[in-house]
Amino acid sequence: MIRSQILYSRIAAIARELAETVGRTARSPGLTEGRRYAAALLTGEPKLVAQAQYDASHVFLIRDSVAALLDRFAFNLGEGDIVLVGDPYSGGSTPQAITIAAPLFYEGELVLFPAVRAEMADLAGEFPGSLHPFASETWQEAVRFTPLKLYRHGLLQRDALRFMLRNSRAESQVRADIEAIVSALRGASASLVALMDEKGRKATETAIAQTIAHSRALGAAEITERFGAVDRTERASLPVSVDASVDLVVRVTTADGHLGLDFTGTGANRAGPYNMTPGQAKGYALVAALAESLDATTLNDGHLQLVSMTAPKGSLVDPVLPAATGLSDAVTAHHLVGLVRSALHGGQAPDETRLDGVQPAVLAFLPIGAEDNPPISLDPGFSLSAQGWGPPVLAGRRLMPSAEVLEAREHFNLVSREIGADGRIHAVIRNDGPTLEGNFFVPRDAGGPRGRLTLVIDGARQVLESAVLVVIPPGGLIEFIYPTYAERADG
Amino acid sequence: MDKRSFVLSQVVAGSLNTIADEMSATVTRTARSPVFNEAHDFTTAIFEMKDMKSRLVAQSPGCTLHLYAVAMAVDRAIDAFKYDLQPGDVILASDPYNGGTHIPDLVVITPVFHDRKPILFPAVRAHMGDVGGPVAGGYNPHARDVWQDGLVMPPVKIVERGEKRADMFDLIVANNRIAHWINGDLDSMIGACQLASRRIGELFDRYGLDTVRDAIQANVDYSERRVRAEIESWADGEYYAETFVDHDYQGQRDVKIACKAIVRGSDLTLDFTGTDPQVKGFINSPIANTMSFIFIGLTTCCDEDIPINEGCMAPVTVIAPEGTVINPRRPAPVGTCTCSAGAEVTEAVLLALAQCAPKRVGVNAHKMPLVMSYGSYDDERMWVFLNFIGFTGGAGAAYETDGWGLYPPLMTGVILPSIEMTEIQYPTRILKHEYVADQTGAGRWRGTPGLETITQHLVPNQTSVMMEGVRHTAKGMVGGEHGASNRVYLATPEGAETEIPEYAFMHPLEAGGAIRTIRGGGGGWGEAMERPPETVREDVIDGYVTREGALADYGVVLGEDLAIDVTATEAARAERLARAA
Repeated sequence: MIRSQILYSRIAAIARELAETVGRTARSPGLTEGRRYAAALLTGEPKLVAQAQYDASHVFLIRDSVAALLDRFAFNLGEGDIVLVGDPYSGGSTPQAITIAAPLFYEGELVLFPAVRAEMADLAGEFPGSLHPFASETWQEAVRFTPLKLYRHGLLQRDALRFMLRNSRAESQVRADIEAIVSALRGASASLVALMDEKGRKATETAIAQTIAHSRALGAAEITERFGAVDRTERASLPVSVDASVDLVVRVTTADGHLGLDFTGTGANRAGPYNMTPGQAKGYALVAALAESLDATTLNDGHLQLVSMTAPKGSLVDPVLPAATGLSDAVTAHHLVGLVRSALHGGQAPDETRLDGVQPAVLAFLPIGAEDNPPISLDPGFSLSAQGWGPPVLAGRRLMPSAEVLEAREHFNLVSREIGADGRIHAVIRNDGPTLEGNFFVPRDAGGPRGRLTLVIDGARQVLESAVLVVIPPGGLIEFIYPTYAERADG
Repeated sequence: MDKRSFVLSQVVAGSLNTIADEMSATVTRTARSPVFNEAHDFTTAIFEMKDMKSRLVAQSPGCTLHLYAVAMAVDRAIDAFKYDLQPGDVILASDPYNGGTHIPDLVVITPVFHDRKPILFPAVRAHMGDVGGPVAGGYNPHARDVWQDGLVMPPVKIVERGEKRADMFDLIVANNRIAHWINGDLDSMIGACQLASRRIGELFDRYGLDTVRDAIQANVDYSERRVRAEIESWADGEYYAETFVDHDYQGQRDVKIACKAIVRGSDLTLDFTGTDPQVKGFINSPIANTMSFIFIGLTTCCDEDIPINEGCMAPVTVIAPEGTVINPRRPAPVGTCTCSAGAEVTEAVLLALAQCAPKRVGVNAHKMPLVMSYGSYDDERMWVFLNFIGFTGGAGAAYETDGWGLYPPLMTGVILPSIEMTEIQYPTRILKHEYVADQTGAGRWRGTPGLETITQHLVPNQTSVMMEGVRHTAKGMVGGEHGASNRVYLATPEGAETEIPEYAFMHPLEAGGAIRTIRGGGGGWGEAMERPPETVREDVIDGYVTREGALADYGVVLGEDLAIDVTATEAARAERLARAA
């Protein structure tokens, strides 16, 4: 067992190295600073062996995406192939996120291989980037990348890459990110081969199997110990526009440490981008249950095996094509995590352990029509959660852009950023560059908008709800007020 | 060339055209979308690779405006795969900035090899019902870049060495709202190319490569000689004309397209310098589209027995400044280029040539009010309805010819979909489709009368209307009158109509709501006062002209019994001529 643990630690280290390599060699700020990606190693089944991630959105989705890839290429996968998928309806979730996997054949069998799931800067759709608050179809959000071979027997499929790049407003960033990911995958593959050469395939597989079983047992024990036997239904009304909402209903059960989710009663959102995929829902529910311990362990299939769900087809958590999914991570997931936490805590999750916290967002870009138009995520602050010390867990581990980076690279001057008398983070940025356009998103709940975005042009103030193609002229100020979800522990 | 060789070259060239015809028939009979199998919005052709460039060698009459653009698509495909082209490959492309026109027009190309070298490239260009992107159907008047038009498809192999590349095929289908159509339509196009590949192989086997190539060259040379002879018959000089697109759907109006035709012996230069810069809206015409519309303008001025091939364009030099509305830079949107700027390119060419070859020009009038609806069948599958029936009516007149038929020459091979089939394939009824009196350009020869069409959808749907030819109507030639304005009305089920001035975007039409299209007629040719009164009278009998119109437009006075009042007619015409003088 100890030998297995040592061996598994080396496997986990390869996953972490893979993740670090991507973060250090990718080009787009979304990956290098936003950390909107995850890296994993998987078996040929596929089972998740080890996953390194920087936010909760990817928990089930590398495995689900890879499953879609292996299913598609079941009889057509060979040495040197690198395959990708980026489709909410092929194991994915939000558009613009793609999973690239490098199947590795050892002794002629698909044993263990690396994969990376990452959000691209732009993959077409109606607007640059991934923020389209009014999308009603997935095609409006991005091109669907169903399973596609990028490399065949080690040879780049140039037309496939060309296809991707021609459908991007951020061609150079996407190209560089893909190259970084492919390179990192090849590095990880080499490490895995070296490991199996050194320790033997059988020992490696044994270590993986034992660790997965162990993680499952530990996770089940934790759920049982922390929450006991739960059978509780929670519901929320999820605002999808100023005057419409959708019921999100989840019955949460725990039996033998297994987390069961039944979404019967959940409504549909055919006209908006709030839909989430089943894998996504399970992932967030797992985070809701194990948030306190997940960071201390390496996510693997043992954890994923703890969750199962049922949901009406066509509902918010099991949408049918072509429903849009773009705001699922930003909104729906937060509501779901809140509900699951509430159910697990008997109807009232303590505020100080709150994980969720939706917040406004702005994505700016050059006026539509520019050829190279990578979007700029303007996110100078964060909502306060968990005793008010920092952003909610669901915000992930993104790096806050420094004032200098914002100024030098994005031509935005960070005029101020502070916690106001109201306990909320206030930030003001000024456009010191050319005229931009921006998509603004202000989430709502039963109490109204959560946070506030104000555009100030020549002294005229305009409080914005969600909107697209808002002109941000040179000198224009954007004021962010982020919501707070918990009292600061220090008052 | 001796007589035997000439006959042989004609046999081989005829075989190639027959192969293109067979491709066309294959597409018609096997495609799934009504845009193909009913409206025939596609073109089949065969290209030859020579010096790493493609040239048109045979074609089947199809949607003419596609035709010459395919050559550039083939060029780009050759360029993309120049070191990786194999027998059995099939390439798919639709990239406005890679030899494409607007994104819904997909091109499928296959190389045909002989002795391990790619020689000929059969190709199909066809209009798809949908191409992903933000708006169903691929017409997005709000588009400000090409990605808002739809999915961009640079050249990709969808069949490799005879084996379908399933991942790429699935990717294309996944990004289409009408998977049940595009699946079959792509198979149909691929099948047509593969059939052509076999037939061409048989041709090589029967005649040998050299004979086939010699025949192609002879045919191309023949066309070039004929076109050069035509141009040579025009007086040397420089002839300028300009036309205007009504608007770009985003606030810019009267977008100018300028054309100077320079005739020097048998050479023709068409210089579009002075054309307006590219615009925000989706009327921009990528260069392949512009070339195709130039090709149409030129070939309609030549004898119709000249074989349509690369030789037709050999005498022509085109100057199309980059960054203009007829040669935009990436990523300007181009969604309606085949209806707006493209049509004006042809019209500008014809108006310029009218000054040196008046008896050769006419027949244009492609200013279509574009109407597109989409909704769902009972099983929730989507349908997209391009209102081909409402596009009809509008061919201009030419020397010795009234405007004829339904579609203008730019859409030669497009046919009127059967109304019965339309009503079977869509939840739709065609309530009216008939000529409108006094709705055309008068002239010695008049344009095709305008048409009124009423289309009713029986289920709720979204309808977009993109008006053209409202302020800048189809031009008359050589003194002929211009056509009338197009008009489109959207009606509630109760019959309350709203006229669409410029465009309507995804207008929700209730079940039973209707679209009324009044298509302006074509332009006339020559002075209306020279039209024989008896011909005018026949038009009145046929319902194309009213008695009042006969007097107003032609100075022909008809009695209650439609007898010509010769004295009154002579007086009316004399008065009009005097007034005009």
